[in-house]
Order: sequence, then structure tokens, then C-alpha cells
Amino acid sequence: MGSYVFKRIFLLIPVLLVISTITFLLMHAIPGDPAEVILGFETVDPVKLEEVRRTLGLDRPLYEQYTRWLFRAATGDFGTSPRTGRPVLSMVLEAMPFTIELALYALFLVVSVGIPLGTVGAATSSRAIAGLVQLTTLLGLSLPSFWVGALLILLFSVRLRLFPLLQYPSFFSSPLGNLWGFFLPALTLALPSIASIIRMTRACVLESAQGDYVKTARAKGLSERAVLFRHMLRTAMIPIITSIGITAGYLIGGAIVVEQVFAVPGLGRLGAQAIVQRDYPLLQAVVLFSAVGFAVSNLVVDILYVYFNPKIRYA
Amino acid sequence: MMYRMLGMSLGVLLALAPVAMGQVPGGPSYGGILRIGMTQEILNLDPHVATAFSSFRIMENVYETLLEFDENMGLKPGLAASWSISPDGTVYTFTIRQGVVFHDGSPLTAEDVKYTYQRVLDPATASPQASYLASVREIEVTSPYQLRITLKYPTASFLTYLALISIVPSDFVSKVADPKTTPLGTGPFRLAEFGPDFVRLVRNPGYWRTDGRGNRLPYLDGLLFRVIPDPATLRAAIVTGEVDLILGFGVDATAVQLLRPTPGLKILAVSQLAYSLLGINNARPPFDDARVRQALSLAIDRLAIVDLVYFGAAKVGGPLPPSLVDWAPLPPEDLPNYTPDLARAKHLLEEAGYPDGFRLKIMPIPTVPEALQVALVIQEQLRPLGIAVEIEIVDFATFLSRWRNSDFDTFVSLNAGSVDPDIHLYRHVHSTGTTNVFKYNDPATDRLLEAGQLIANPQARRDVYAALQRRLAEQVPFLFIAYADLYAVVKDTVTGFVLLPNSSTVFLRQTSFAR
Repeated sequence: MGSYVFKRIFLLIPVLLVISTITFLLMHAIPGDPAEVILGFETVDPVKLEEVRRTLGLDRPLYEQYTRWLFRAATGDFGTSPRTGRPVLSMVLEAMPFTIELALYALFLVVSVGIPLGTVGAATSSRAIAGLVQLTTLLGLSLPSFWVGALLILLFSVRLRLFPLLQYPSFFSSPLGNLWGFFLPALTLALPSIASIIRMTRACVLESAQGDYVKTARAKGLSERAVLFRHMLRTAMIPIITSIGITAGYLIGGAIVVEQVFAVPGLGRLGAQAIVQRDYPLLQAVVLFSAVGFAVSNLVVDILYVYFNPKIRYA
Repeated sequence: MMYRMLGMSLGVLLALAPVAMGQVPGGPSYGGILRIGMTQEILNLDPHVATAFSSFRIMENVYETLLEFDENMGLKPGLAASWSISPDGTVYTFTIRQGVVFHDGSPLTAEDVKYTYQRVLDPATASPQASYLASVREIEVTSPYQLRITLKYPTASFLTYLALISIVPSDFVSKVADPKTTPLGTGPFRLAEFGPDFVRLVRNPGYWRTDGRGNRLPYLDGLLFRVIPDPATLRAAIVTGEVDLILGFGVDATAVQLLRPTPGLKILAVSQLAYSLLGINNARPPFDDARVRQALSLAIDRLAIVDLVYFGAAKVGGPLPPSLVDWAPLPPEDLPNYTPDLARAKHLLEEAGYPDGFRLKIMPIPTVPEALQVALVIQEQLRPLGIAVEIEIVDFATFLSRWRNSDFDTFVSLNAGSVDPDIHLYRHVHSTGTTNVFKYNDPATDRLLEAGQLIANPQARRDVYAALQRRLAEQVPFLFIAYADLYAVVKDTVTGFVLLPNSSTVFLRQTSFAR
């Protein structure tokens, strides 16, 4: 197992290399450049523009810019943001806790709401409950986050005053305030994934109900409850976990809209600003760190497989 | 009955409360943190380098300038107690106010002022404000509190420029860790914390200024600026009381329509200096023909745009802002090509050789929501002339890039204005202007602009700018559309804040919470 984890981490290096190359090339392929954004509406003087481009190193050939960035990044120096003049690494590290908390919180909601509801949807014979579950999933999947977020703010913060707006204290200084403040953004982020996990769980549980081991368990005289939890759900968990793994990655990347609506100063918002303002070093770092987050969540999923399916062994 | 009595005694108690707390009724109340919400991110707090709206709203409370604007955008003494100008208009002598200290305790002297202007002029600083001091020949410190600035040629707007440059201490760059994140000025507030999307300022206990009654300023303990990028969330934040004041982008006519009926909120409005415009590429046919540009100006009903896009809360204006009464902006109805006249527009197009109209692209700036709406109204208004308008949606960096390279037929955007007509117009419409992306080249306009820079006599200068306004309305380098009202929404417990036409927040120094 240890060597497997090591191998996976080692494999991350070429993956990140490819991702950073693609990001770099894509960024330079879209029109607009950071020097122009920095000068803004101040002047159109081409001499000034060249000056700024020179100080940013943008006058160098593309391959030189890239290799220079790569060697620095390898030593942990991700450069300075041309807009803020601050080191990119410290900007990313400041924003990361917000996004990680948001993603973990949302993941918790996905698992704690999605799996039980999906199981209920599969196990129940009540048409009303099944219909309700169906409706919830349909809504969760089809409503856009920016709209859901605005609606939740309007309903729970402005009208009912149940949840505070824009208050994100650190978990260590105020655990309750933290969980309370992050609830609406986490819920908004989680909703589409909750819906898809409900569908997934329901389908998987229904499918495992056809299995011979379920019939055997029933023939042995186990209670319906025991059959459901000990046999059906455990088998169904394997595809569900894969789906959760993908969800976790999506939650890290999908935070952009939610962070914008709820004014959470996280990685997604930083990335969105970086794209709009053509802040190349910042965008490179945001993409790279998000990729690492995605890879780590996948690794955790693969390790969890072993727990749920003893047949799988990694070496 | 019971409730009424309870209410009455509560009222009496509340009325007595200030006395009990040792305050004179009607006097200012000290204390409290005012929380300000705005949509634009805070990039940089170096007063000589920053360009973002959000940066200025913060720095105005940390830094001060030699001269200041009053509520009518007139000039008044700031860090300079007084000044005199030589008869030929080239030598300015300033007396620096004594007893002013920077936030680190060092006293303000003429040396600091000299250092500041030299820093702005130093190419290494790459300050966009360097052009403000372009006419400076020499800066001399004649005594600890006296400064003499000699100009190469008379510059009518020189004092206005000085009201825009923040004074820093003479060892600023070596003293602070990073000028971009650690501001150090003489203002009513000083920096306490610069976070990822907030800036916290606290009261400067050594601030020199007092109110009319001799009370020390500022009244507030501190200011908290928060970035709330989504306009809908910004509105929600003031309704729920998460912030006390919102201003800037996102606080527009639409927001105000939605917030007006909310109890507990006050809406402040002022006619602003910035204006929306339809930028035209004067070098690209058919717009290289003045008749075509005139036809556009005659076909576009600016008043309809004011009603449809700004809910009436804007003024149709010519080249000078209607709020600049001192400069006598000409009323739009007196300007040529401002009163809609489709028949004449059609006639002009026929003369220019486009009897059936042509195709036209409009690129609205994506960071100003009204820009798209203005473009949509124009699209409809040009239809009767046979002009088929296509709206090009681009992202901000692309807009900037195409704007800079004059790669457009037309665009809709917002130009920041100025209290001085030269600053307001020169850079856009002079043939060598630093932002003449319109490729407009008219010797008569150039001559008027150059005269306006040199003539210091107010009446003579007004005549020059009256002629210039007419010339621009005739030639239509681009369309001045409307000067929208500028808004701030505050909780009604906040008193003393005055919104200025340039959206400055300097009056936070005399703002307090009513008790």
C-alpha cells in the first residue's frame, strides 16, 4: 500500500507538467495581455506598453518564459502577480483554506444528505417519497448555482435572517460561527452533487438488490434492515465512492461561481480574477494547486476502495 | 395603553441617553467602525501607482493632498495652508501647514512634498500621475515649511493636479515594507490590516483637523472596506446590516430602484463627472466622414437612453459635465447635433453616400452593466436609418486590448471625468492625446485645447472651452451620451457623509453614527 501511494504521488509530476504546459499555452492563446490590463485606460502609448511588457518579461520568446517559470516553480517560487505586486504563493495560500473548507463542507453535505436520501429512494415502496426524491434530484441538477445562491441569500439571510451574510470567521477562533457562516455557500456548492449522488445511490442499491448474495442473505432469514445495510449498501458503495471522488474534484474547481456570489475570498475567485485580468503567474498557480487538490482527492478515493471491497488490493 | 406608555418612557429614556453618556445633544458621537462594501477588488495601495477605483476610495482616508476639493468641487487648502502664484503664472509658492504628522509620528515638512513630486516624476516609479507634473521645471524647498515650484510654461490646471497627488513622507520607500500594501500618510485613518479582500483602517489619534466646533476628527474608530463582487450580494449585505455603506460599481440606478423602499436605508445621489459614451473609430470608413458621425448623433435620442437605462437618474450632457457650473457647460439643446432629428440624419447619410445605411458593430465594456443596455437602445434607434447594428460581447482584457489598438467600429464605455476641463478632455480628443483611441484629428480642436492649457484668466478660459464644446458637438469625435447620477446607500444611522461628484470618500473623516 505504501509503495502504491508513493507511486501515485510520483506519477503526479508528469501530470502537473502537462497541465501547466497546457494552461500556459492556452493563456497566451487568448487575446489581451497583462501589460495592457495594468496600463488600463491610462494611456495608449506603445512605448509605455513595451516598458511594462519588458518588466514583466513578456517580451521574451514563449518557450523562454515557460522554462523560466518552470524552473522557478520547481523551487517553490511562483513569481509575483503583476496586478497586486504580491508573491503569488502567499495569495494562493491565503485563499486556499477558504476553498478547502468550502469543498469539505459541501462534500460532507453531499455524503450525509445524498446517500441516505438515495437509499431511502431505493428502499421505500411509497410512491410519494420516491417522487419527492426524483423531484429533488431534478431541481438540484438543473438549477444554476448563481441563481440558487442568490435565492438562498434572499430567503435565509435577507428575509428570515437565519444565516449571516458574508461572515467567514476561522474555524479555530469560532467553530460554530464558522459552520454557520459557511452553511449557505456550502449548500449552494453541494446541491448539484447531492442530486447526482441521490440518483447514483438509488440506482446502485436497486441494482445490488438483484444480486444472488442478497437472495442468499434473505434466505438465511436476515432482517430487511440487515440485508440493506450489510449487503446491498456495502456493494453499492464502490461505484458511489468513485462518483464522490469525481465530485470532490468538481467541488474544488466548481467553487468559482459560489465564491463570487457569496464573496468568499477563495481560490476559485482568485482564479476568475486572474483570467479576467490576464494575471498569468497567478492563474498558473491557481490551476496547479487545484490540480493537486483533484489528484489528492482521487488518491483518497482509491484508498477507500480497499476498505469497501476486500477483493481490491494495491501494490 | 400599556404598550403606549412603555413606548413613551422608552422614548424619554432614549432622548436622555446622550446626556447620560456625557454628550451634548446635537454634538457628534465618537466611536464605531463603519463597514463599507464595494464590488471591485483592492489591488494596490501605492497612491502614485494605483489606478483602481477601490484603491482610491481607501487611500483618500489614509493620504492627504496639498489642495482639496470642497463639496462643490472647488479647490481649498489641504496640507498647504496657503499659496501664491507669480503674475506670469509660472512660479507657485506654497506654505505647508505646521503641526501635521505622518502616521509614524514624523512631522510633515516641505521636504516631504518635494520628495513626493520627485517620486511621481521618477520614471522608475512608473506613475500614471507623472503627466500631472509634466510642466514642472524645478521644485525648491526654501524653508522647512515653504516650497517653490517653477513651471516651464503656465499651466491653468496645475492646482487641480496637485489636489490629486497624495503626499508621502520623504523616506517613504525605505521606511515602509512595501508601498503597495503599507500606506503611510497624514490622513484621518491609518492602515491596520490588509487582507485578501478587505482593508481595515483605524483612527489616527494625532490627526490635525477639527470640526467647526473644535472637536477632534475623525469621529469614527475605524473603517472596514470589504469586497463583495456580486452586486446582488452587495445589496443584500446592506439590507441585512452586514455593511453600513455601499458605493461604486454595482450601486447603480437599478440597485437604487430596488433599495429605495427599504426602511432604515438612505440613498445619497450626486451628478457625477464620469459619462457614458459611444466611442467611434474616426479613421475607419464610413466614420471618417463627419457627416456620418453627425447623423449618428442626430439619430440617437440621448434622453430616451436616460429614461430607459438610468430610470431618469442621469443628465444628457455635452463635452463638459453639467455639475461643473463654474466652467459653464453648454446646455445640450444649445449644442449642434444634440436634438434628435431623423430626417436630417437621413439626409446627411445620403449626402455621405449611404442612402441605405450600413452595418455597424458596437462593443460594450463588460465591467459596466449599463453599457450593454445603452448599446441595445442604440441598436433600436439606428434601425430607421437602415443601420444594422451588431453587438460584440467580449471579455474585459479583450476589450482593453481592442480599445488600445483602436480595433473597433464603435464601443460603449464610461469615461472618468475631471473637475478641470483640460484634464476632462485633452487626453481624449487632442490629436496627440494619451487616450485618443478614436483617432480623432482636428487642428481646430487641438488649437482650442492648447489655448485652454495656457490661459489662466478664468473668463478667457471659459470662452475657450465654450468654443471647444461647440467644435466637438459639430465634429462628433465620439458621442457624449449621459452623466449618470452617482449613488451611495447608507444606513440612516450614519450621519455626516457627503458624496462628491468624483465619488471621493474624504468626508468619512466627519462621518459618525447617530445615537
